[in-house]
Formats: sequence, C-alpha cells, structure tokens
Amino acid sequence: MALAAANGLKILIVEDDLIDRKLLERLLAESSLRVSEIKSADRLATALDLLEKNTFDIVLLDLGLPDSHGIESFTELQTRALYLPIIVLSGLEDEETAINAVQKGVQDYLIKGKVDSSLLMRAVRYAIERKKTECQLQAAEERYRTIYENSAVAIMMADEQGQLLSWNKFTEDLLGMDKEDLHLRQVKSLYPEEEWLKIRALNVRQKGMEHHLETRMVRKNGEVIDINISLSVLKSSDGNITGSIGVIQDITERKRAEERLETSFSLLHATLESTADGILVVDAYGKVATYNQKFVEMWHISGDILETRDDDKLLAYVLDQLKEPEQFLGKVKQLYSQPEQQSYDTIEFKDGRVLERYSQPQRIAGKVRGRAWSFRDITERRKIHEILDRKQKNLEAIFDAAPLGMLLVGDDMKIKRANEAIKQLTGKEFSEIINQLTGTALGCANLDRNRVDGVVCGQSPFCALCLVTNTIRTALESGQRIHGVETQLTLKTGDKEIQPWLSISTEPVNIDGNRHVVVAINNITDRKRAEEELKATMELKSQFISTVSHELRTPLTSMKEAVSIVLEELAGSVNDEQKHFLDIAKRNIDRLSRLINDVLDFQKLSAGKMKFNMQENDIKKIAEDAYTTMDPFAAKKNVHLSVQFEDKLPKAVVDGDKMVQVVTNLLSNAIKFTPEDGKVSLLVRCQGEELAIAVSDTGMGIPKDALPKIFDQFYRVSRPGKEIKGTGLGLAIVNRIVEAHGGRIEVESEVDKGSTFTVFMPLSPKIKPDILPDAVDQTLEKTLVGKSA
Amino acid sequence: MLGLFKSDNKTAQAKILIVDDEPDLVSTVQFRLKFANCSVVTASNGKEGLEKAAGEKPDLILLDTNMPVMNGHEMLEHLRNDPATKDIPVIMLTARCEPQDIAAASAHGISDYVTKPFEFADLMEKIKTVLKNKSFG
Repeated sequence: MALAAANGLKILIVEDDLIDRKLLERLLAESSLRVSEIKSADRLATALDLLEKNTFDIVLLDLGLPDSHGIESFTELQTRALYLPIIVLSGLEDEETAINAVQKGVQDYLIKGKVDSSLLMRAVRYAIERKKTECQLQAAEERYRTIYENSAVAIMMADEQGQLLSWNKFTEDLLGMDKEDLHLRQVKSLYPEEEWLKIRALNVRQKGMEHHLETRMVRKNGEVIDINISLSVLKSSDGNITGSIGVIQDITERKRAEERLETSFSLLHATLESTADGILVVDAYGKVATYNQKFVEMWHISGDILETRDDDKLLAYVLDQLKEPEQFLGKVKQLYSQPEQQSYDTIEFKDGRVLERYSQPQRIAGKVRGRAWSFRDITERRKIHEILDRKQKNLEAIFDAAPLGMLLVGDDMKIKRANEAIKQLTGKEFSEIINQLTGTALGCANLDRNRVDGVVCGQSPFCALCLVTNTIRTALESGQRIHGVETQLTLKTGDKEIQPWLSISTEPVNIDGNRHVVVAINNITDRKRAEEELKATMELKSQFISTVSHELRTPLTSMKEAVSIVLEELAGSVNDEQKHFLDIAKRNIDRLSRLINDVLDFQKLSAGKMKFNMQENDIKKIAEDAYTTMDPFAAKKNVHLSVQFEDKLPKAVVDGDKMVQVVTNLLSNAIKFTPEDGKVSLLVRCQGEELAIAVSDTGMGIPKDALPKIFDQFYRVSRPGKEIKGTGLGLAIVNRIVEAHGGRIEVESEVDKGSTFTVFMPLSPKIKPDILPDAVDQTLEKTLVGKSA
Repeated sequence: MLGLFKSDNKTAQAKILIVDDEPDLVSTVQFRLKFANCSVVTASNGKEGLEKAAGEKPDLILLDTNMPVMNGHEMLEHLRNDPATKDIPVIMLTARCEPQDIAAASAHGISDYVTKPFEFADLMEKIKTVLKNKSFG
C-alpha cells in the first residue's frame, strides 16, 4: 500500500456508470483529502488490470459491474490486492449486499445518492485506517500463529467443557497423536487419572489464575511422560471464561537427568561417608562445598563452624590441634595460590595422632573450580612401622651379634648380608664379602688356585662337590630348610690356608617378594677334632684290648693244654690229689678265658662293633641248644632244669649264635644262683608281635634295690657270706645283645623265693641287618661260652 | 682220658707243621700230636715256616696269625703263591676271631680255624677232617 500521507492518495474507482464516476471524482476533489491520482475502470477486468500495473491506496468499487456482480467483484479484487482497503458503492436496493460485503472483509460501504464529500472523505480515511489496522492484526495474528505452530512447547486450547479446540504441531508430536486423535478430544483423557485429579484440584477455571505445575501425560502408545504445564483461562471480551489454555513442556529428560543427578549425589554421599578418609572440598571462593562425617570427627569440628561453610574459619578452628600450625597454614595457602598443584604430606597432632594429607584441584569441564582435601589417619600404621623398625633393628642386631656365622644369600647366589662371625672366619671386611658369590666371599682356596683363569664360585672343577653352594642352591630352589650339613673347606685367609670344619644350615625366606636363604655357618672344627681324637682313643683302646686279649689268650692256650695233657695222663699217671689240684688249675684257666671273652664281647658291644648275623631262626632250636649246653651243669648241681615251648612258635629274625649266648647266660645264672634241689625252667612263647623267653628259678632272688643295677657292667649283687663267683659282665652283655635286637629284658624277683628273667624280642628286626662277609664260612664261627663252663 | 687221641688211620704218619711263636703252645700241641702218631715239624715265625713248608712238604700246617718277622697272613699269602706249597692245607690258630681276620685268612684259602684258647679235641677233629679231605683229593 502506498504511503498516502506523504504523497497523496492514489485511488481506483471501479464504476461502470460515468455520471457516478464523475460524481465521485468531484466529491473527492471537494474533500480535504489529498489525492494525487485517480484512475477509473468501468469493468472488473479493467480494474484488475490496473491493479496489476499500478499501486493504489484505496478502491471504490461498484458492486454492479457489467462483467461482475455483487460479492464476486469484491472477492476477485480482494484476491488480487489483499492489503488494499475497498469501499463498496451500492444502490439502496443493494444495501444488504453491501453489508454482506462488509462482513466478508470490505472496509465500508456507501449508498449512492447519499454520499457527500465529507462522508466520502471520512469513509476513505476510515477505510484506509481500518485496513491498516486489519493488516497489522493479521500480521500479528500470523506472527502469533507462527510462534504457536512452531513453538518447542505444546500449546493446547480447550473450551469450557474441556474439549480440545486447538493445538499446535508440537502437541501432536509430544503426544504421538494426529489431528484426528485430538479433534474434540476431552483434555482429561490425556492425563493419568491421579494427575487429572491434581489438575482439577487447582480449579483453574473458577479461580481464573494462572498455575504452573509438574505433572504427567499419557501418549498415544501408553507411555507416560513428565511435563511442566502452565495453565490459564481464556476470557472473552466481556470477561467471561471461554476456555483454558495450557502450555506444556516435556520435562521427561530433565526429570530423568534429575533422577540421575540425585542418584549420583546419593552415590557420592554414600561413597564419601563410607570411606575411612576425611574428605573436604572447598570451592574457588573459599566456601566449603562438601565434606564427610569422617572429616568432622578427625578434626573435631563443631557444627557451628561447619554451618558457616567458611574455609578460613575452619582453618582457624583446627590450628590449635597441630604441632606445627604455621607450617600447616603455609602449605594450605601455598596450594590455594597454586590451584593446579597436587600435594601430599603428613600432619602431626599434639595428641599424638598423625594424618596423611592429600590435596588436588577439583575440576568441572576441565576447569579448576575448587580444591579437594583428603585426610587419612595413619597413627596406628606409623606405630606399627615403628614397632617393625625396632624389631628389624633387633633382628639385625641379633643377626650381627650371633656367635654363628650368618649370611643372607639372594636368589642370585650372592651374599646380601653377613655378620661379624663371618668376618672373623674369613678374615675379610664386609666390603669384600657383600655382593660376592659365597665361595669368593668365604675365600675358597680352590677358586684362589684357579684365579689365573678368572674362575668364579661355581665354575671351578671342585664346585660340583661343594656342599656349601649346593646346599644353598637346593634350599633356594626347593624352598626346604636343610639342617646340619657338615663339610670341611679349604679357605685362604691372608697368606695362609685354613681347613675348618663347618656345619651349614639353611632356611629359605621371602624378602620383598624375592627368594633368599638365611645361612648359618657353625665352625665345628674343635668338635670334629675332639671327635677324631675320641675315635682315635677308642681305636687305641680297642686295639689295646684286642692285643692284650690276644696276649692273654695265647699263654692260656698253652696252660690249658699243658694241664689237660697231664690230667689225661698222657704224660704219665697222676694220683687223685694231683688230679684235684690240676682240676683246680684247669677250672681257673677256663674262668680266666671266660673273663677275657666277656671283656672282649662287652667292649665290642659298647663300641658298636659287634656284628650281628640277622637271619630267620627257629627260636625253639636256639632254646634247645642252650638247654642242651646247660643241662649237664644243672644235673651236676642237682638243680632240676626244664624247658617248655608254646605250640606253633613263629620264626624270628635274630642272630642265632648271640641268642644262644643270651639264653645260655640266663640259664647259667639261674642255675648258679639256685641251691641244690631247686628248679630252673625255660619257657618260650609268643606274645603279639614279640617272642617271650622266660627263665625262672627258685633261687636266692635279687633284692629290690639291686634290680635297677643288675644290668650294669661289673655290678654284682652284694650277698655277704653267699658270694657267687662271676665276672659281673654276663647280664650286661645279655642286655646289650637284646637291646641291639630291639628287645628288652624284664625281671621279677623276690629274695629267697627266686627270679624270672623274661626276654622280649621283636619277630622282625629293629636293627639294620648286618651280613658277614661272604668269604667267611658261617660254620667256622664259634663262640667259646658254653664250651668251657 | 687215656686213648682219646690215640692215633687212627687218618692221622697215622701225617706230617704236621706247627708255625707259632709261642714255644709253650707248640710244646703242648706237639706232644698231643705225637701221641696221635703224627710227625711234627715246628717253626717260630712265618719266614721259617715257609722254609719248613717248602722243605718238609707237610700234610697240614697249623698256623698262628700273630708272629714276629712274618705274621701268619703274610706267610699264607706266600704259601699260596708258591706252586710247591700252594696246596698244603692250613688250619689257622688265632687269638682274634674278628670276622675281618677270618675273611682275610679265608681269602688265601684256609681249611679251618680255631680260636685260642681252644679245646684240643676240637682241633683234632678239624685236623682229621682236613686230612680226610686231602686223602680223598
């Protein structure tokens, strides 16, 4: 539309009647309207054509045109010039049509013949203004409609009955419904029942106020969404409520985000409260953002101070508790002045507590927003460390001061630690010992001899046999302790070589996750020397006894033979008296022989040199042999000797000859200590896994106080006035032989009533069977006991 | 006791060499053996014993172990190395009855041994057994 005020109006008159047209022109000229141009058209087509080619401010339109009539003319014109005001000219008879045209959008109508210049002027001005206003309203409405339709919120309008009248596109998208779903739909059907009740309770229509609430709606597919709705009433121009309007925002995501946030906060809170550390977070403005209960307890902070959320006040409150408050404060200030810095240190309290303090910047989206402080009570841990330190020092002191040589060897076979005793053994300083291989450290002479070739411990030909390194290596590899390996080393100390005997014991340990071995080296040279001396002494003693025995036996042989020859009257006859004294001589020669044999036997048993020929033997035969040997002696003394065997006696693995010696000796003693007409019995039976050989007599018995000693060497029961001859070695020898078989002897005795000696022998040997050399014919081995009683 | 050790076919005229450094023992054994109708040669040490064994060619040697100049074990070894004397049976007379001593002697082939002091009857039994085995080869 042309700017009429500035340049004058441009008017188009569409009137087929020339007179009417001229009249209008004259009225326009007479009016005070500033008209710059008037064009006329007598037909609609011409008017439309003019509209195409020209710009007009207003159209005066006759409804009766040759090529168009009534509303049709207006409609056509309006289509071509939407924003052009149109005044319709009609005759009296067409007034109704004119009114109808006004309803259709015509700005005014004039009745022909009743128009004067002022009326025309007023109508023109009014029409232009009205059109302008209409256009403005239209534009505004268009804008609002655009906003309405394109809004990112759902907007719904409902009538008084709650029926949907209009809604925007977003509403359809929000609810997943189309126009047909929403057309005349009851608003309440869009809400879950319990939510509709809340909305109704607001009583929006009655109260007429605007309300905002969060509620839920139901989509077409049944999904329930969270919304924020602003409800207000629609009123007519007369103030009556005509309906309601709701502006709805989908807050489902926001709600979910809120829930996630709440969950996160809950987790964070739980985490903060569950940790053993005290946590404090201070924002960039020095305000306490968050803390946990542990922090409050650690620092004994009162609720008042916490409520202030003021970090400075917190600091001031806690300083009194600290040993070094200035240092503490200085560190805090330093870290606040360097927001990016991380920190770790410890804080000591006056009450003895120690805390570890960690601090790092708090970041949000990569930017530092504050600082987080974490405190951990390490008081107990420090105490334990101090105790462990003390214990370690104690152990090290013990290690260093031990009288044994102590080494700690790593899994590389190198010495990690040694004590003073090792220094003394090797004559070396620690610097020459630590981090060396064992042989090198100890000063192995074999390595020293091979030094020209650069041989190290483990590489010389002797090393394969070295018990020291082999023991250590075995302990390292197997993880088993090894105790008391004895070896003699040749060590070079200074200019001389020594050959100590050492006892090596190893104990594997794990230090810092690595295998080590603790090696104890005991210098047993003195002990070994003593053992060898003792052994030499024992050898000498054995040789002495053997030599002496031999020297005694040879003349005894001659004496015995010489007496026998005379007794047998081979050298001439002898009288009874001569025979008597010769018998005395022979008896004593035999007695001397027995003494020598007993001494030799006892010496061999004591030295562990008695050889046992362990074989399966029939105990019954052994007992019978002994019985046969002693029967004549019993008969001679008029002592009744009997023997009894259990049925089915099992065989036993024993040295047959030695067992005959045992049984014979016991029978001999029984007969010796039983007076004439007395009884001696031999009973052999099986008792579980043992044989029981019992020799009982009705002799003089053994006093109770003497019983514990009867097996001692050279012990003889004191019987004043009733001395019975004997060497005092018989029972000692018997006891040793029985013990060597793994058996035992039990004695029951009563003075003047008699005694029972019971030998218990295991059926299987308890000693290692000792086989005589193959070259010896067993039948040649003889004992003399029993041959010459 | 008379006649216990009277001679019989087994010992009649057997020549026995006694090698022992103990003259009293040699005297008593020699007496006994002569009573058993054996002829007896004696030596007082191993060296002399070897000479007598080679010269006299005895049927049996009674050999002591412990002697001066050359002991019984050494004499036995030489005896067995000499073709002239290697087959002469030997009974050891020993005051030691250690198994290693018996084994040492057995290694050089003794026929038997007795341990001093011995019963002459036992020795006689052994002499008879050895001579009997010798006569039957």
